[in-house]
Amino acid sequence: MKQFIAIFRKEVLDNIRDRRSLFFALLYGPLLLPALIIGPIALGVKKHSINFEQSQTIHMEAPERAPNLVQYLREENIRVAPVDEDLKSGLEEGHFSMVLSLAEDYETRLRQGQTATMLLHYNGADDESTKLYRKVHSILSRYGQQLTAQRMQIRGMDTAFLKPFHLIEENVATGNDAEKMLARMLPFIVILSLTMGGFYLAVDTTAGERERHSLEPLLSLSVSRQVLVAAKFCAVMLFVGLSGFLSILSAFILFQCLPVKELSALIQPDPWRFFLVFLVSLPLVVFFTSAMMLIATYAKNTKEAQTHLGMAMMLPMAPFFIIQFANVKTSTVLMAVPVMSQYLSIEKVLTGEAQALAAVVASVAGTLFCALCCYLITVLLYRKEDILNS
Amino acid sequence: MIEAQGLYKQFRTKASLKRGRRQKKVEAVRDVSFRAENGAITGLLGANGAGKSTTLRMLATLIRPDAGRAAIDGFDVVSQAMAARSQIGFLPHNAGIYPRLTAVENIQYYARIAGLPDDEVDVRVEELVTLLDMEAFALRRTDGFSQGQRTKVALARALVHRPRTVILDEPTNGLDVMATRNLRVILRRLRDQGHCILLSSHVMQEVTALCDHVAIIDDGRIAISGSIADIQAQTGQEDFEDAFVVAIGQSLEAQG
Repeated sequence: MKQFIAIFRKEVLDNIRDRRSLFFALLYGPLLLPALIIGPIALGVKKHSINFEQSQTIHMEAPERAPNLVQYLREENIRVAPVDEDLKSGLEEGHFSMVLSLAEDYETRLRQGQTATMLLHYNGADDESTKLYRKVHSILSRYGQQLTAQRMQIRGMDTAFLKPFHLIEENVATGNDAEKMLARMLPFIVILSLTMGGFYLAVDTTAGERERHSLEPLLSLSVSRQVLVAAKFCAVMLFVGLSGFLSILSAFILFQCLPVKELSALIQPDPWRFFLVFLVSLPLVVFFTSAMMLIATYAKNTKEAQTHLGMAMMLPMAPFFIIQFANVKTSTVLMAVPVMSQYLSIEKVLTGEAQALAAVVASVAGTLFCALCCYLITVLLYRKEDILNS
Repeated sequence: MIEAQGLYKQFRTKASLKRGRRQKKVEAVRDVSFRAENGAITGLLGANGAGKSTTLRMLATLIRPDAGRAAIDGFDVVSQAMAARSQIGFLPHNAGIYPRLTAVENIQYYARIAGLPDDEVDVRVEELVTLLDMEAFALRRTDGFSQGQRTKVALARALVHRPRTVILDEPTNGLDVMATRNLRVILRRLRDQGHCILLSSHVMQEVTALCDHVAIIDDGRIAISGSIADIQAQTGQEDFEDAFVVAIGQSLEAQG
């Protein structure tokens, strides 16, 4: 036990002093990744959602021609301002988000029961303008329907005549695409952080140790290979776990801080849920640690270990794309596949979907079994004398 | 005390691994037998590739002999590897110290693994820092240390658990004149304390200056062993370098 503590302490100290390794363990995964990935998506959600409560202003040429329309817009929380400068330059320079112009004969034609013309200017390249366009467009259609109904009533016709059916739409999906993307991104971030967190330490404790020729004297000490591997394993696991914990924590804080009301429909940023995410990823911490140790032990030198690990790091990304592009149905067998099961699990935890006990057991057992296999092979490799050959 | 009897070790060559079944094997050590007594410095002398490092690695329990046996203070290096390890301090070919730890931390690390009680660790490290004259750089991280400083740290690390037997693989490699002389003083001091010291070298001068007993290894076999005077007498040469050439079966004229 004393030997275990001595080795564990040394590996932790050694890693803390390695700036590059510490950067990837504590800053890259936990801070940069969530900020880089969640930030834009969350902002995107905000940008593309329309707030019907907030009052907005559009500009109108000659609003006095259509007092009823102005009134209708005001009831829909749209304020109307008169255009007081040149229309074309004002639009191009972005002074107006949207301008509604009415034809000169608007009032007369409307009164005579004819079709009046109005012109809506907006800027499709500007997000604000596009949002406003969608909002105003839907208000104007409703206004049009209202006018139609009035005209028909005046002429004694049933408005139902123009409406052969009444369509009621119901979208059973919770949240929109961007929100779903966010729920899917979190496991992606956590899993990427886990791999980045232990990457350098895993390489350093085995392939690096061999390359520095420090493995030879170490193995000539009276310490069993099991203790040696166990201590190194725990040191790597500490950083992998820390990296995972911090990335979940920073994602949680991000969700709290970003003014993203639109998200609350889908992802409740309550601490318990994020803690559950951490619990779900714990078996993965064990698995990634043992897999990285195995790869780093198998590799002949640091460079080879980094190449192998770099390629192996593609694997945890695979489930993300499989889930994204293929319609994956959750089955117990699938839940026994490490990484894949955590992707599905974390997503469900975030969206508050219930999970079958069998699926949870399969996920934990499957992942830990794979971890154990990697660990045992690592111990086996340490026992072979080939471990010294670089 | 080290006893080696008929040690044999072969390796598969890297190139042949690719060819699959037709593996070519290289015999690194064919037949090595010798004794290294306590209170004496024994030198394993041989050309590059003669099998020195492989022999030392077998004695340090890092690799298993394919045939023959070896024991450290009576503990078999294969069947009682853990007990044998606690008897030896091993200084490998490259110092192999940790660059991000200070000299003292490097030594403390081995002290703790070797199982020294906590209160004794610092005392012992202090002793070694004084013994090896390391005060000037003891608290610095070893990254950027000179070869001599590295060797001292590695040697202190090998000695930290007071092993009876010290095995050193080409310890003076890369050391300057003064560092080499200092190392000799240290090794003699250890011998006088009753330690068994085994070192490998390909430098004649080194061996004649330091060793009480020499085993000359050539092509994986011990060609001759004994004190320097014994070897000179057996080969009929007055010069030790000539004695070495004769011992490994080469002609003196051809060597010039």
